[in-house]
Amino acid sequence: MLPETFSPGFLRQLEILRIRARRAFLGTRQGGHVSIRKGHGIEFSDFRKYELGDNPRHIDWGVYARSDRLFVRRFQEEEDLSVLIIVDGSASMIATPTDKKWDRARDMSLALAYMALIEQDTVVFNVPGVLEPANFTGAKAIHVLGGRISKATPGGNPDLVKEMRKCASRIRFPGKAIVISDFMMPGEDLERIFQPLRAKNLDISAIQIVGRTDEEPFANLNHPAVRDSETGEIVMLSKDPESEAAYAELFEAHSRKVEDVMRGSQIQFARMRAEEDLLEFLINNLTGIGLLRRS
Amino acid sequence: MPNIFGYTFTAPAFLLLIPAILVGLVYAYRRGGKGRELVVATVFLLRELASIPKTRSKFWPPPRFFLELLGLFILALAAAGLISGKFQDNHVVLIDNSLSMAAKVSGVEDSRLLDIAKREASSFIAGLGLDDGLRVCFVSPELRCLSDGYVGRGEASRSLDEIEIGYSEDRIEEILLSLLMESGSPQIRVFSDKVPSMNIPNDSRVKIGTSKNLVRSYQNVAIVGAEIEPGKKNNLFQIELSVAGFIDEGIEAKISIESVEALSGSYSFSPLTQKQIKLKPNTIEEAKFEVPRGEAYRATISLRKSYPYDSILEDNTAYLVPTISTGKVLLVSSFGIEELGLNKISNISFNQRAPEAGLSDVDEFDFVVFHGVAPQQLPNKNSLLINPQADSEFFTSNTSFDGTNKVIEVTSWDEINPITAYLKLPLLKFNQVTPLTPRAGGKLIINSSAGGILVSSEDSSERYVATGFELLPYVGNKNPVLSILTLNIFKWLSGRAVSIGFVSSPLVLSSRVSGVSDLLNDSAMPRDAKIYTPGIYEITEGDSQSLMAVNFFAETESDKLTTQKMAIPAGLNESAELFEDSSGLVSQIIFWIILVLFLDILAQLGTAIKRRSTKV
Repeated sequence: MLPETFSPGFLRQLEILRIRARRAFLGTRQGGHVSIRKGHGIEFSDFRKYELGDNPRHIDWGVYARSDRLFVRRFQEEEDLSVLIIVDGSASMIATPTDKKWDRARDMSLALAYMALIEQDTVVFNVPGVLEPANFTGAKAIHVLGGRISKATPGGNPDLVKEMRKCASRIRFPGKAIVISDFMMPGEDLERIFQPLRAKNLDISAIQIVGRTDEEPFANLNHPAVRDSETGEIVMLSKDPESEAAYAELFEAHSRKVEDVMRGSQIQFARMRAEEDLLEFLINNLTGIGLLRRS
Repeated sequence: MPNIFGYTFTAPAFLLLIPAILVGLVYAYRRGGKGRELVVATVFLLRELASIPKTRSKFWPPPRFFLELLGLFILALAAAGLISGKFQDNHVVLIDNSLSMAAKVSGVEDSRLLDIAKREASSFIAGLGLDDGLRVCFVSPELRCLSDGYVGRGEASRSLDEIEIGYSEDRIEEILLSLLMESGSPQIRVFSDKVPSMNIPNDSRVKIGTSKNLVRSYQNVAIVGAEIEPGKKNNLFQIELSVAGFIDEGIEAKISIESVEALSGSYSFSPLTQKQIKLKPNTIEEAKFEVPRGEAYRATISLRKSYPYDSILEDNTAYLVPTISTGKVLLVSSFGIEELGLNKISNISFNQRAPEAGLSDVDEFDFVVFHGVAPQQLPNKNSLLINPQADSEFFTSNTSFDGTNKVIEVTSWDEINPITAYLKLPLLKFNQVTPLTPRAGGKLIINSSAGGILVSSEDSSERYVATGFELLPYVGNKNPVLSILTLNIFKWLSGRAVSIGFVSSPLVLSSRVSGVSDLLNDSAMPRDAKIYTPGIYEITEGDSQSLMAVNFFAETESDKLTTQKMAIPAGLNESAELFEDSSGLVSQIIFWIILVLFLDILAQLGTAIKRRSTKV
């Protein structure tokens, strides 16, 4: 069962978008993405000498007539893409329910999965610590996926590095990896969680969902104790202009750090405020960074 | 007990919790020990702020703070015993604590009828609803309620412990009537050893709450009368005791006489004599003793050990303080002693003087007789005022009533007063009387068809009698009843107030008394109090000190063999009206608020425990 956001109109809008990999990957079957495999596509790639066993239909008879040598034409193969979608389901995503970070991440992941599935891509979907990694294929699978994620209860404090490693180990064919999270963690942790994915030579994209409380925790502060949603650590704050200004600087520095890590790791990166419109973000921002393309 | 908007507190000391709660809650919120924390994903950034210098933050409590403050405030009020000043149903618990309730049911402790009545009353109170109001009252020595208004069950039950045996007859019917006429239409639950003289209607507001244990028959012996007078020899006194046995069969009893030697601030008992007497069922035996002259005496009756049952011990003792009469009486009158026939009264020597003469030497006389006159101020001496024709301190004198056309008859009189006891007063007829109306301190003894005609007053020091008719037999009508009445009055006035050696409870203290102390218990008493408890008291009046004995003799109270009857007042049997009161609704609201807050506190506690375990 899909969330309310996924109205027929919304789905029609999604159908004009495709996930775009920055390079070709080996697929498992015929699909819509250019594969590194040369085959029988429609797009010409190059020539090579005829070898025993090649299909005579691919022999370029024109070249043979001119040079009396047998060459076969090679075409770019179009195969499916393995799309790994990892959604952060830790407690930080539901720390402040009114921020709706989890809702936005869920809808974002489903939208991306839908785009992949209608393109006959294989979707590996994983919510670390909440949903075990599972493969989905075919457009109809979106309903199964939607039902599972809707019933999932996010929370806890999973070891993301470990979970990423576990997820990466299930990947048989490298492809696209999309990580959706708030990335509210120290910079060094951020680098570590992407290492297993990079080791698998995946084309990684990261989407950061930022809640209002993440940006302005002092707006909701009516009590001096502030507790971390995952570790339970409590810090005492006083609501004063100095602290607010200092925090704004710290948050800005953290945002820059996230961007630096992504850039350094050649990860496509986009930041979304949880209150932003999802469709607009998909069309404008994700096509802007090259994660999506219009069909 | 403070009363705020119709609400009272049973334990107002707990109201001090309120400021403590306010301070504590503000402190808890400021320190972050309580209330709603903000849960965020950015603590790894926020912890960096610890090094930022901070200005003092203002305290802006969240709405939850006020909710919790309200809850704790209500809890503090509950701890303070907040109760509505008005209750759904009002009940009066009337405990009979007259002397008869001192009867012991068995040899064990706390087995007196009063203890049983208290326990039964306590059970009754426990069975009432939370919104029922209660007043605990007792009857002896006079009606007294232990709270100003109606209180809750707990306070009412606790107040039962304050009730002690009273030395008086219970007058329970009179008390019931006054309670029934009270506003608030209380239902009255009586715990007494008396039984109703008739069946109580179902709709009666008076209910009997006692079990059969209270109205059973118990055997008892008692001293029901005592007198001390000069003996045949100058150095002796004669003590005469009336001893009653309220028993099924004859028994032997021992009477002991001890002298009480009053020392400075203490006393000692010295046995003088004792005598065995045989008591027959339901008879009163007289016992006489010749004892050496002393200051005070105590007489005690006890049963031999083979007769274990004497249910009331409080009526086994009598105290006596002898007074020595001079035998001289001052007559203030225009008439001579012979003219009034007073020379024919033996044992009394009269000195006559004119009304205009002074009373400076009044201390030399046993008492004073004012004949046809009334002094402007009563002397500090027992006095008889015959036909005073003027007001005095204890009565007002009305216009003389001439009964020429219609003889004036005695209509009613006090049958137990020593002056009128055993007299057939209807035999008295008068042609002219001056009606007397008793004032505060005065007591009407004889009433006639024209009004009151004999008034008396008694306190610890003096006794006064005033007659609105000619008393002395040789001037007015000659009548044997009148002669006996005269002698009774003279006897009553003889010596000091205690011609028989004691004052019947209560002892009313004169305004001239400056101090009273209970000699046997060595304790000072309030000067303005009435003294009900039998004993020997040291009275200080100016520079002089004297002893006074107080006894309470009442055959009806000592007779535990006969079940006494109690008449339930008729005509006030309507059911008690219910108060229109919203206290029930208020209690429900308070209950739900407290419940919600309690659940909230539990939830907070659970969250705190979970959080702590997560941190670990």
